[in-house]
Amino acid sequence: MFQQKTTSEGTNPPVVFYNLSDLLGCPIRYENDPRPFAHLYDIGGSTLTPYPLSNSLEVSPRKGGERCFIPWSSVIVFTRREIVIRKSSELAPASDFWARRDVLDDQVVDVSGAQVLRVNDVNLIYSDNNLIFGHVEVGLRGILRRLRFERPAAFLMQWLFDYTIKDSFVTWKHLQILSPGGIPGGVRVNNLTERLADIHPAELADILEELGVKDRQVLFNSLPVETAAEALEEVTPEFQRTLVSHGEPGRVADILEEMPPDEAAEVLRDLGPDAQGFINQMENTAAAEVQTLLSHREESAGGVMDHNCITASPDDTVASILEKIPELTKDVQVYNLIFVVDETRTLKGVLSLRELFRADPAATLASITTKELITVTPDTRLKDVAREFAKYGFQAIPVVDENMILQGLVRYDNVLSHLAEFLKD
Amino acid sequence: MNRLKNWKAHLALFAMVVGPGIITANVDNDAGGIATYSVAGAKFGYSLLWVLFPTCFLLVLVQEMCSRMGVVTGKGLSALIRERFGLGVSFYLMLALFFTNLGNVVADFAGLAASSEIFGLHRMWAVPVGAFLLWHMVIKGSYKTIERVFFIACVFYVAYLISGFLAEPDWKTAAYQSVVPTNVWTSDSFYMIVGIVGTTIAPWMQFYQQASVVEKGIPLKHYRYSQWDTIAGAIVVTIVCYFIVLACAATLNKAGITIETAGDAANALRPVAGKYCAGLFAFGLMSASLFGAAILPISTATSICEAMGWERGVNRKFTEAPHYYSLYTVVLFAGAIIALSVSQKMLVPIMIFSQVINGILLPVVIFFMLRITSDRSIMGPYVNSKWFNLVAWSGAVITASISIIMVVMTLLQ
Repeated sequence: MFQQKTTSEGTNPPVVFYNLSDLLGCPIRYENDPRPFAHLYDIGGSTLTPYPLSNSLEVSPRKGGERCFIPWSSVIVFTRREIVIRKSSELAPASDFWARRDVLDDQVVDVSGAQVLRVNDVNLIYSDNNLIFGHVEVGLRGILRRLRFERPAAFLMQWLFDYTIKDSFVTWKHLQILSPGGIPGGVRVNNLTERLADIHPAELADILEELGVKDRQVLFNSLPVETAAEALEEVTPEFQRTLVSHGEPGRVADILEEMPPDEAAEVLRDLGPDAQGFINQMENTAAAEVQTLLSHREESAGGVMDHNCITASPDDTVASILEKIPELTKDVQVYNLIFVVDETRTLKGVLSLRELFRADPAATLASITTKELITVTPDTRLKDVAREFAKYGFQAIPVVDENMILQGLVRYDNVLSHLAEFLKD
Repeated sequence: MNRLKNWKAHLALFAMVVGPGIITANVDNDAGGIATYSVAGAKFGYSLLWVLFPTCFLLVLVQEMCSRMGVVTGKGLSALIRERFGLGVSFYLMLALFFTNLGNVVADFAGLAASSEIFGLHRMWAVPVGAFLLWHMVIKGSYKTIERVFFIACVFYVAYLISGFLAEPDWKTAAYQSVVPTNVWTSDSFYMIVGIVGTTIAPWMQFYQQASVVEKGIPLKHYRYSQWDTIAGAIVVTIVCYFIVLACAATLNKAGITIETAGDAANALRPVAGKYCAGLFAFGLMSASLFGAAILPISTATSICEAMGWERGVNRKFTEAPHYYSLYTVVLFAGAIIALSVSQKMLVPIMIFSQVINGILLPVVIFFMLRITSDRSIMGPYVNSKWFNLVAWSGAVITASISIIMVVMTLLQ
């Protein structure tokens, strides 16, 4: 151990940069045999560190036949010309990804720019007998180099237009690989998804829409449930359908629970008869809410209504409600309307937060609430709901049944998103 | 009642999925295709009608693989080739595709020029205006509106059906010759057969159909309807070809008139078949040329950008996808300019050049397609079955050898 250290310091190994495309096909030999026995086919990496280290090589034998794996620990010399290894009985460790199969020429996500890119080359750094994955090249220069046009093209562009063809890299720290699993039974360590959590859901949705079926599913499955729910809300209905129908039912149910019930109902409505399978897996209250939404016609108030709203009793005082505001507004989307209901949930009045702030703290809600109520029933058609919104300018309208029992509320944005479909472009 | 309901549900799902197959197959009947079928009818009468049926089968075989790859992977053909076979191969494939597609666009603008002159519109007006309208439609439009326009364009092919009827063909002989192959082994007719197969199955079609299947986002569950779409497209295209051959066989062949282009055919039809038949024929040629000139540049830009990893898609803005729109613009306007500026004599070597690349490209593309569709790690359970592979490989070998023969014969001429 000690000896090894002194020799490595003694020779002072230089830091060398390699392009994966130059390394592939490189001859490999044993230390005591001058004839190469195989060619380099692929390099496997382990994602335990932010910049992954190579832990094994996949090689194709010269004489043909099955490709085999060599642990990185047995590599002695690593250059573009040749790779020398020592004979060892050690098995190659499982790799989290393979540079050629999963990265080179494939699509990856650049987390910092929130975009999908195709990899033209992989840059590796060899230092202190470690091979480190540094960045991937995504620009024109990488394409030109691999096609062996780099020099003439760069010269021509410089000479003709005084234009320098730029390199463009994505550092490995900002990279999300999409192909799953390493070959020798490796389970993918996914410490990358936390990088994705920083991307805005709308951008994540764009990324998902741009990918192929498998890559999309890999990415979607690797997202934390909350992020997945936000992204699912943002993608177009066609993609919602495919993402959900290819997903594992238990996980999909968790994601749907995370979404606002009306959004979840919308996703499930598009699934047709398959929806029931997911509803059965959902937690009871969420399932029941979605179920009621689905039981109403899509174009009616009942089909889009939101069950979560702030309710209060007519006997509550203004002060007592104001005190509880942080807690009351926790799980609701419409936080500035308070519905005054009696013990049978019969709607008695509606109060806005502003009215509450201005009122005498000692007054009861019954004394200050508006008596004239604008309501709709679950069967009211969305067109008519929209007219009510246009007329009164509310943010939300309560939904009640024929006995004035509060069912939930319709938000104006629910109605808007339905009407938007009918807008002419 | 239940059956009726089922039938309605199937139809509704089919309507959601239909498009890529039918549109691709119809664009296949562009100016170059119509020229080939017209010459076949004029020169050989009804005797080559039978060729259309095996060609239809080969077309379904090849195109079905594309839409399957599209539905299963959600990626275009050029992306799959890049991922499976690397950058070098994809680059040279795309280079070849660029030139052969450009050749097709030139042929389409030449067809537009010829057909508009039949209607008394000068080519110096018709071609630039046509090119600009197409360009504007794509730059401003979205995929959905464009697909709708293309769908309507498909209807114009009915013109050929009517002109086929107006030509009053000898139905009995036609029916007989559709089933019984005669005079196959003269070198002339063999060249024609090769030409028919070669123009009916062209490399851009595979790239285009797969790309539009992906763009449509057809779910795996509805793949069956995508198959119907492919088959329906191939049948429609075969019917249209059939009637073109029929119209030319019944009139030009009978009168002993020889022609070289589709424009010739429309002109020559007037004295022998009447002005309605000729007018419809020219109208069909015009819409087919416009249709081809609209789709081929889109297809070229999409395939190349996908292989190279550049932003693409009609739904993006110019600044978001500069490579895509530059390629599209270059192919479209270069095609129009070449068609306008080059004399009829010079056009022939350009067409031959494009056909030769076409012929070399097709076997390569089909080979890659078979490799990909047989790869379980890509296709999963939708990998080719043993029997399908047997049929597909033999079909591919036939198509490939035909296109290679075509290249050799073109070069020898």
